Amino acid sequence: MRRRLLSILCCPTCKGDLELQVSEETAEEILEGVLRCSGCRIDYPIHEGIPDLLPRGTVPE
Amino acid sequence: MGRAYHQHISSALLQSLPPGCSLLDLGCGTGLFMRRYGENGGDAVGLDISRGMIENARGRCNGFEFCMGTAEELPFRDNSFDAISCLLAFSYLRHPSRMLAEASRLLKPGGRIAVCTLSRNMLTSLVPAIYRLGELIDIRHVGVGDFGEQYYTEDEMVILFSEAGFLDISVKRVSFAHISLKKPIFEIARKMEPFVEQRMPSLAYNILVAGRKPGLIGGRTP
Repeated sequence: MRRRLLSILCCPTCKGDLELQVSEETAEEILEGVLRCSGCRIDYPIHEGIPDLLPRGTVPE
Repeated sequence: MGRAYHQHISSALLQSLPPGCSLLDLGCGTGLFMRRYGENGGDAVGLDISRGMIENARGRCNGFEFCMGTAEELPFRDNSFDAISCLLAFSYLRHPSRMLAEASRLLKPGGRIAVCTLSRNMLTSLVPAIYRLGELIDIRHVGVGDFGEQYYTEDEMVILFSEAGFLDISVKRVSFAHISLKKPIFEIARKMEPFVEQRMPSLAYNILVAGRKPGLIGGRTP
């Protein structure tokens, strides 16, 4: 993912801000890292350039 | 075959969405629709629950962004997109009203949504079998559960869109909408069987529903 995507991303559950922590990056995009929701205390991983923002909590029926 | 089917549906969807804008494609699969949307400019973000699908889509849509996620709990800020598309993934949602509420939240004022979903009709009983076969040619790419698809009537879709607050709601049938169902279903099924076996995705009845979020686009009347 490119850094510009971060400006429209939020936590899927609480819609709060995500804090980006990059562990591997090219000139173009972030390859590995974490998008952290401090409100939910959940780390959403970025792996091979793809952010995984599937909800981690229980989805209410 | 599956490509032709997708092409047919995506053409109908393109006509319902503003060109060259910021698009969110829900259940983007391998990125076929995003690539078509991008032919007229614009920017697109694809969301899918499947990493494998996104990996394929990234190869197909250079420059677009992708994200794993579910359409019922979207990881995007309010008022982020001009347009939202959803081809066929809608049929697999467990909470369609939740997805539409989320879509409304994400759209900018005046933004447009277009959804293509499986429709409920006389041939509905055929469709699950068709889609089971459809897996073979990679048309069933939404990857949400096992055949948990839902079929909607036009009226049901209009109610869902209205409840989510969308205006200017339009509904039309796409793919095989021209077949007149005056004969008993078994007779049709019998006649169609050879065709179904070869071109099964085309037989899935689909309805295309489009709507607009209230408000003005950039101060202009939409």
